[in-house]
Amino acid sequence: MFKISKVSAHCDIPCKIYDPAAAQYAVLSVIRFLDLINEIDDSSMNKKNSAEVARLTVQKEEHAQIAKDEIVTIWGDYFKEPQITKFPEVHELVHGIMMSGSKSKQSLNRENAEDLLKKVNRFAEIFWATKDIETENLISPYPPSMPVVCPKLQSA
Amino acid sequence: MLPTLKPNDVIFTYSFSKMNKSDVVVLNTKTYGNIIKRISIINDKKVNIESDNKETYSSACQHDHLISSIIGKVIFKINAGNIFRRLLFI
Repeated sequence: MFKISKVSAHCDIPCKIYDPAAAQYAVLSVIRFLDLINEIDDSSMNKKNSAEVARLTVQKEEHAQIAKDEIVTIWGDYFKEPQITKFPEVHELVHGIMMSGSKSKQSLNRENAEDLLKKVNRFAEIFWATKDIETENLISPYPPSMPVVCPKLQSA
Repeated sequence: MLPTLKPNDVIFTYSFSKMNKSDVVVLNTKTYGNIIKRISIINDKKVNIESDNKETYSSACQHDHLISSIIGKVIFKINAGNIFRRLLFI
């Protein structure tokens, strides 16, 4: 019989707006905070330096968590069957990012954060490849001056 | 589904026994409820769907759907905005 009902042309919001740059920026910050913490001499732990270490540690924790959250969002919301079929390594890579992110929070070892950056850069490389966008390795123009994978953007 | 369909358009569907590629259909999905999309791939039991509006992204288009979930194929549409404008003589 005749029936009227409402139909929608479903689309996800935000529309296609995903970028791993936020995660890369956060990891660079983690490395920078580690460098600043490690520059403080153990023998001069007065009140001022203790407060500084506390502040930098809080920031290091927060930025490592931002990196983890940003990657999980892209992995969970953007990556679907076609992207996963093309890059089946993505699940293991994201799990590795979670592990390295936690290690970066737990310790003052720079190597953990460097490993995190390496994995997040690989994730960025995969992400842009799923969009058929070429990437390039560039050195961040601020400390810690580490390489980041960036999309080759069109000039406006 | 722009530019094919606009918000508040009224569509009429009919449940044909056979659907074809490129048909605009209404599907009932568990996750999104009733949605309207175009068939991009069709086989015996399943269909893949796509949106006409390439500026948007729908996760509903990322996996296949059972043909049995199709409520009907769009046979014609009425632009509701035009009707109201004519009724109001504007």
